[in-house]
Amino acid sequence: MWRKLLSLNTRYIYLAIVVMVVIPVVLKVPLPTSPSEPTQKLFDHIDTLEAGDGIWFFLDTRPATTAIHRPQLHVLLHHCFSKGIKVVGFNPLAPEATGMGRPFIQEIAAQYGKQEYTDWAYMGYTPAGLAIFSAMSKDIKGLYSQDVTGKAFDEIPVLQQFRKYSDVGLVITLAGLKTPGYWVKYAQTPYKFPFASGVTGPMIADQFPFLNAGQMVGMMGGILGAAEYEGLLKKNNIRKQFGIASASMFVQTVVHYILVAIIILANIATFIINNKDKKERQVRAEARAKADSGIE
Amino acid sequence: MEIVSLWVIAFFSLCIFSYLYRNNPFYKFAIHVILGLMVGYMFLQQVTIGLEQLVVSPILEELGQPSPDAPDILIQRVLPLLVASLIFTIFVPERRWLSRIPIGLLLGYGMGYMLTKSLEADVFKQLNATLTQSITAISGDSIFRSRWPAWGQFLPGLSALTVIGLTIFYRFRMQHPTIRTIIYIALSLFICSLADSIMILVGVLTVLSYFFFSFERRGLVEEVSRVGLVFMMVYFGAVFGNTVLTRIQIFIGQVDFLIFKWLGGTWQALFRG
Repeated sequence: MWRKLLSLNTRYIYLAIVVMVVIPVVLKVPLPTSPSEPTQKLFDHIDTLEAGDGIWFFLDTRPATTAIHRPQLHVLLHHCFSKGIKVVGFNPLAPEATGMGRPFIQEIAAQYGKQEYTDWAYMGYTPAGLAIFSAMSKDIKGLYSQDVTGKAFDEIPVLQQFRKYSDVGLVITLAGLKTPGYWVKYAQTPYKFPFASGVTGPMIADQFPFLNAGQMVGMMGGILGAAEYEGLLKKNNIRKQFGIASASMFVQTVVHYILVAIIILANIATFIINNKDKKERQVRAEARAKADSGIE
Repeated sequence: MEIVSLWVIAFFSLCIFSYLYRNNPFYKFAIHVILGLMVGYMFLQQVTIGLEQLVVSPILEELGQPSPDAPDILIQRVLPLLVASLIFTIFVPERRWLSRIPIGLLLGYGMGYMLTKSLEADVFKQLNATLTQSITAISGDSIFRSRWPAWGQFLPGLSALTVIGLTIFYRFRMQHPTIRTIIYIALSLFICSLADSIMILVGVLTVLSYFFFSFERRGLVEEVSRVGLVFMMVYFGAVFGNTVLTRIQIFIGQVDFLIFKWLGGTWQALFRG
């Protein structure tokens, strides 16, 4: 039985995962989470900003991580637009993200009646590489002559207010690449401005040295961070219901239970089979030894 | 048009998922299309934004209608374009050496920029934070201070004073087992209240010792470096666990798209107009 379990076709495991993902996704059951310290700090920092202040966000990611960065950006935008904070988005380090930012903002801005160009703008990509970090400390006009829609820089009112790091209340990178380290190294440390990150799961552990050293004011770690932020928005009466991130946490919990069960079962099976094989080998060795001694 | 794009996305998603059954022509087709699209898209971005918007258009505008910014345009747009164009001399064997100029400039700029910024951000700031947290008893975070900040900050000092005071009392006045138990409890509280700081200090030193290759690791150094290995394995475990979480989330996002946007959108378009 245990041997059969270990040689089980992995397709059955994939099928089980698919079934266990599809059912909760359809049911959309939110799972409230208590906020971790980095998420709470990020929320608190944005909460201290006032109407008319500005936030720059950077989509340093690829379309593959949309499922993580869309909920993260959505909770940030809910918080910003509900407080009247203006938002400008960029993706200078990831050309693939150009098509992602504007639709994400449009979706939330429409709910709060916020106008493009006056309350928010999305600038997209510029091929400047590492030079963006120092250029943005002076004036973003040197990097962008127009936004993603082709509107000239000088004709976008929101950009005239927020042209360099010192003009904005927070710079946040939503990163699926190793860019938060670059931001800390080449921008935050030399130019000293409030900086935060929203990262994918594998990058969470790398952010803690920056948080401990005060180089980041907060962090949203993976989909869990977005779910925690949704909980904070609800707790502070900014949103009435939980969003996609909290619903995803329920699916994550179900799938993780299955994965943990499979890992435990596989370990028990390996342990039992190894013990059995060891005993069989011992018995065979003893029998051989007896046979050999009998011959002698 | 929207419904067509939904079907195209759904088709490619299902083609990629079909790999879970086995490697097949649909999967290969999808992979090649996605890679080709990505490279083509990035090339277009570089040409339209990098070359057209930031270089060619300002130069043409300046040529058509000269302005006082002409020297800036020459230095910021024309000169870099000429230097960057030298990279193409790589195709001319006799003039190939010229291509080293833009490469050298890029590398030099990158190295200079990186070295000056890295020292402060990666070395001084991190060293400062590590030492501050490890040495100063009340500045670091701990299980008590994060949960009960009002009184948790006094715990290290109070427990240390209790240990010192009761140890002196125990040694010179009254050797009662209850006092000894209280000393042990206070000592445990003191260690727990500094657990994070101690953990960070031990972690940093032991992991550093693991990467110390100046002499052969033997005896105590080897044992210490093994502790560092444990710290690293804990880190890798956390990264792996979070990677699984992220991969599942990407799958959840795609399932959500397939059910609600693709099937739901198609249903709405067909039956509800």
